[in-house]
Amino acid sequence: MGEFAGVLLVFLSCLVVTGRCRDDTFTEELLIRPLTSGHIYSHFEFTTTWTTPEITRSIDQYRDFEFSHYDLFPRAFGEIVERYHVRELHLSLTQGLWRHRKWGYPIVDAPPGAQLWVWFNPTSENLDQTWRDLVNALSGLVCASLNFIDSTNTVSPELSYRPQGLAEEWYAGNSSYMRYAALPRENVCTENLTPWKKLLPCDTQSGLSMLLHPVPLYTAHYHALSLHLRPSCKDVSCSSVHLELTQALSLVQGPTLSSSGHQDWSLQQLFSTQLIYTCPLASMSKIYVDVTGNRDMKKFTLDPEPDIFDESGSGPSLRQLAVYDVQAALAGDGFNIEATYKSRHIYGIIPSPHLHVSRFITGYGQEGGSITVKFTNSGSTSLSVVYLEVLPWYLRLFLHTSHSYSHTKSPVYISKLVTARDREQGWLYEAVVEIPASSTIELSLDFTRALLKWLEYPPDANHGFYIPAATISAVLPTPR
Amino acid sequence: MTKLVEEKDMAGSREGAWAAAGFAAVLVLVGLPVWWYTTTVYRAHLPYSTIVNLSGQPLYHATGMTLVGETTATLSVELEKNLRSMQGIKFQISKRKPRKEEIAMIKSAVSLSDLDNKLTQIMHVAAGTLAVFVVHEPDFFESNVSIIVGRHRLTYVKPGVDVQLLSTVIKSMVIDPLANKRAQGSKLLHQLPGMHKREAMRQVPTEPGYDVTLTLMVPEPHRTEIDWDAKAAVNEYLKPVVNQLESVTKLIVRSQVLYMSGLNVSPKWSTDHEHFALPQDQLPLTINAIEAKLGSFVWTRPSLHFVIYIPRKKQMPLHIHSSDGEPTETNSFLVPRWGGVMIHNIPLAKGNASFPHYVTLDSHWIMSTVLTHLHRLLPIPSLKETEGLKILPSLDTCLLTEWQLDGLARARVSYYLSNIHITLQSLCELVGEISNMVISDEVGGWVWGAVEEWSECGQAAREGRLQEATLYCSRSFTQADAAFFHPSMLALLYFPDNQKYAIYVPLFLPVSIPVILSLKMVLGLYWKPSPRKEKVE
Repeated sequence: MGEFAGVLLVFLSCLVVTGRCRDDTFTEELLIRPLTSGHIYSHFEFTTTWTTPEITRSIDQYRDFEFSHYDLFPRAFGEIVERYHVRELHLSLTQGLWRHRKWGYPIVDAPPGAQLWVWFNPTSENLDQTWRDLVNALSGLVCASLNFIDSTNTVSPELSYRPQGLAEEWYAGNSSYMRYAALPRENVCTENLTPWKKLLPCDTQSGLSMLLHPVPLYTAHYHALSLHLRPSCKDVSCSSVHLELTQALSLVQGPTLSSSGHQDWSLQQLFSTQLIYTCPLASMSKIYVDVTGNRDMKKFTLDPEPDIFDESGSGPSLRQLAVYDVQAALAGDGFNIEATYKSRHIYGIIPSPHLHVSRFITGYGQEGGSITVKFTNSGSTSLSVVYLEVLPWYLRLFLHTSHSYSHTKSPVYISKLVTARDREQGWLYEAVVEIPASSTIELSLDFTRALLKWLEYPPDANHGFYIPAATISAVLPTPR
Repeated sequence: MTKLVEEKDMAGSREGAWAAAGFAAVLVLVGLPVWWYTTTVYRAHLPYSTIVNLSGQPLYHATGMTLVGETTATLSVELEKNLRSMQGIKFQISKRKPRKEEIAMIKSAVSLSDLDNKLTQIMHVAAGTLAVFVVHEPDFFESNVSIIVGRHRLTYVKPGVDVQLLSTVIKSMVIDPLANKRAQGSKLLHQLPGMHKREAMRQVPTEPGYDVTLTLMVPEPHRTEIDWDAKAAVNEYLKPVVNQLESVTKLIVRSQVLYMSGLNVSPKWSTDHEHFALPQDQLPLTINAIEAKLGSFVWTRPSLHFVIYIPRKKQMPLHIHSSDGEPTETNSFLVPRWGGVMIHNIPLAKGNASFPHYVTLDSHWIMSTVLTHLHRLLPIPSLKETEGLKILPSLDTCLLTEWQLDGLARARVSYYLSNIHITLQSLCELVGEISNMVISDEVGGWVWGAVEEWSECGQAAREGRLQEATLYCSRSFTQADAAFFHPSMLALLYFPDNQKYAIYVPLFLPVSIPVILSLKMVLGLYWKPSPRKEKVE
C-alpha cells in the first residue's frame, strides 16, 4: 500500500512538474577554466539521454537497438547506430595538440585528426564489413573523409579503449567486438561543425549552441569536436539504464590579455556572440567557471555574481566551480560573464601534472629513424600505464631494439603485438610500462621506411607522413 | 669476285629473310593472341537472346470472374464484349447458377451488409478473382441503385442492370486506370492531356519497400508543449494497414519531431474568414526548409514523408486556400511521389497563462489524413459513388477491401514487369555499345537470376497467380537494379585513350619497324632474282 502510494505520488509529481514524462532529456553545460599558461579552456557538453523499455532490453541483452519514434535524439545518428550493430561509439575530430605539460588534463582527450573507436554488439555478421559500412556512413554524417579508414589503419587493442559504458566482464574483455582507427591527417573545419550542430535538438537557434560561431572556434589553439554514445546508468544506484549521447566541444583559446597585461576575458570576447535565448527543450542549462585557486575572488572577480559555488574533492584534487543557471538568468537581454583580474598575468613555472609524456622522432633523413617516448611520473607513487602505438605498415619496426632506460631496470610487458603486412595491415604495439615514482623512462622503437609505389604517397610531399598519436591509459591515484 | 660477294650477299640475305620472316611469324602468331588475351575486359556471358524474347511476350493479367445467378444470355455476352477492350487485363468469365445455400441465405438476410458477410464465408472467392451476384430481391437495392459493391470480392447487381455501367465499374475495380496506362508504356504518358499526366505522376514508383516517416514540426517549443503519442497513434492506425499490405509491399514506419524550424511561408490575414490564408502557389516552397532532416540516412528505400505542422503563434490559425480563394476542407496538401503536409491548428493560449502552454493533438484527424494521402500515393483502385452505384461502407475505414488489395498487386506487377524490361534492355544496349565495361561474375549471376524470375513472373501474371507474381517480380526487380547500378562495371570505363597509346606505342613501334622493313627485304629477295637471272644468262 505504501509503495503504491509512493509510485502514484512520483507519477503525479512527474506530470505536474513537467507536463508530461519524457523518455528523453537534454542538458547543456559549459565549463570555462582559465589556465595558468594564460590560455582559456572552454568545454561544451550537450547530453541527450533516452530510455524506453526496448532500449533497456537491448542494453541488458547486448542486442541491436531498435529505434522507431525519435524525439530529442537525432534520427540521423540513431539510424546509423541501429543499422550497424553499434553499442558504444566515440568519434572525435581535433585540430591542434593538447599540451598536457602546460594545460593539465582535459575533460575529454583527443588526438589531432580524426579518431574513431566503436564497440559492437555480438552479432553473426562479419564485423570487418560492418566496420567499413559504418565508417562510410559516419563520414557522410559529419562530412569528414573517414572513408580512408580501412584494414591498414584499423586495430583491436587488448587493454586500451575498454568500454566506457555498461559492460560485463565477458564482453569488456573480448576485443574482437571492438575496432579502433585514427586518421591523423584529417582537417577539421566549419563543414564538420555544421552537421554536428544539426544533431542538437535546438539546432543553433537557442541555448548554448548559439555561442558556437565558427570564426573564433577555428582560430583557436586547440579545437576538438566529439560524439560519444554509450549505455550508462541513470543514477548512482544503477537501478535503471539509459542510452547517453554526449556531444562535446573543447576549445583552448589564446591569451586574452588586455592592453594592461591582465588576463581579462568575457563570453562576448571569447565567442564573438551573446547568449540571448535559452533552449526550451533543455532540462538543465548551466555555465561553470573554474575558480580553484581563486578563494574569495582574490585573483579575479566575476560579473554577474555566480548563483552558487560548488566544491568537490580535497587536497591536490580540490575543485571549486562557480555555477550560473542560464535558464534563470536569461530574461530577454543578452547574458554575458566577465572576469576582471586584479594584477598582471605572470608567466611563471607551471606545476607539471602527475604523468606527462613526450613523444618524438629521432634520426635524420628519409631512410629510417626511431620513435622515442619519454614518460615522466612526477608523483610519489609508481604508475603502471598501458602504452598503445598504432603505426602504418611502411614503417618497418625493429622490435629487438626496443628498450627502456631508467635508473632501475623496469621490464616492459608487451600485451599485444600485431606485426604489419605490406599494404594490408598496420602495426599494433601495446605494452604495459611501469614508471617508478618521480622518474623518467624512455622507450624507443627503431624503424626503417619501406619503399612506396608512386600512388601511395600522400599528397603534398612536403608535409611528410603523419603518424597517429600514441595512447596512454592509466589509472591515476588522485582524481583530477 | 663480285659474284662471290653477291652469292654471299644472297646467302646472307636469305638467312636474313628467314630471320625476318621468323620474327614476323612470332609477332603475329604468338604476340597478338597473347596481347589480346591479357588485355580483354572480363565479361561474363549475359542472356541477350532470352531478354529479347521475353520483351516480345505480351504483358497482361488474367482475371477470373464468376457470374452467379439467373441471367439472360445477352448480359454475359455483352459484358464479355465490353471487357475485352481493356488493355492489360484479360477476363475469363464463367457462369453458374446459384446454389441452394446461397438462395437460402438471400432469403434469410436482414440487410445487404449482413448478406455480404455471410455469402463471402460460404462462397470462397479466390484471391485475384471477382464475383458478380445477380440478386432478384429488389428490397436490397435503393430506388435508382442497380450495382452495389461489397466489402470483399462480391458485387451485387439487379437483373436488368446496364451493362455499360457494370463494365465500367469492373474495369475500375480491377486495376487503377492511370497506373495501368503508365505500366503499359511510358510513351503513352506523353500522349495524355495535361491534367491526366499530372495525375498519373502522383503515384510513387513501385519498389519492394518504402520508409514512411511522420514528422511533427514544432517551431515554437517555448510557447507550446505538444503532447502526441506517436507510438500509440502508429500502432492504432497505421499498423493494421502495414500488416495488411505486408504481402504486397513492405512499409517501415518511423516518426520524428523537429523543433525550432518552421515552414518559410508568408500567409496573409483574411478578414472574411478570420484566419491566415496560405495561398496554393506558396505550397511548393514550403518543404525546402526542412529537406535536410527528412529522408533516411542509411537505407536506399524510397521515402514517403508525412509532415504535421503546428503554425507559429503570429500565424495562427493557418488555413490553406485553393486557387478560388476558399479554404480547403482538409487543411492539407499532397505532394506527388513524396508524401503529404498537413497543418494542425491548436487553440490559442489564454491571456496570461504561463508558458509553455500544454496541447494535445487530434491523433484521429492526423492519422486519417495520413492514410488518405497514403491511399492516393499508392496505385490503389478506387470507386466513386455515382448514379446507379453504391459502395458498402467498410467497418474499418483504414483497411483496404480485398478487391482493392488485388488491384494494387496487379498495378505493381504490371509496373515491375515494364520496369524490369527497360532495365535489362538498357543494360544490354549499354554493354553492347561500350566495350570497356567490366561484367563480373556477380553481376552476371544477378542478370541471369533476374531474367529467370522475370519470365516466371510474367507466366504467373498471365495465369492470374497474383501472390506468386508479386514475389517473383520483386525479387527480379531487386536483382536487375543491383546489376544495373553496380559500381564494378565502371572500373575501366574512363580509361583514357592517350594512356593506351602511351603504353602501346613505345612497346610495339620499336619492335615492329625493323620487322616490317625487313619484310620489305624478304619481298625484295623474291622479286629480284627473276631479272637477275635474265641478266646472267
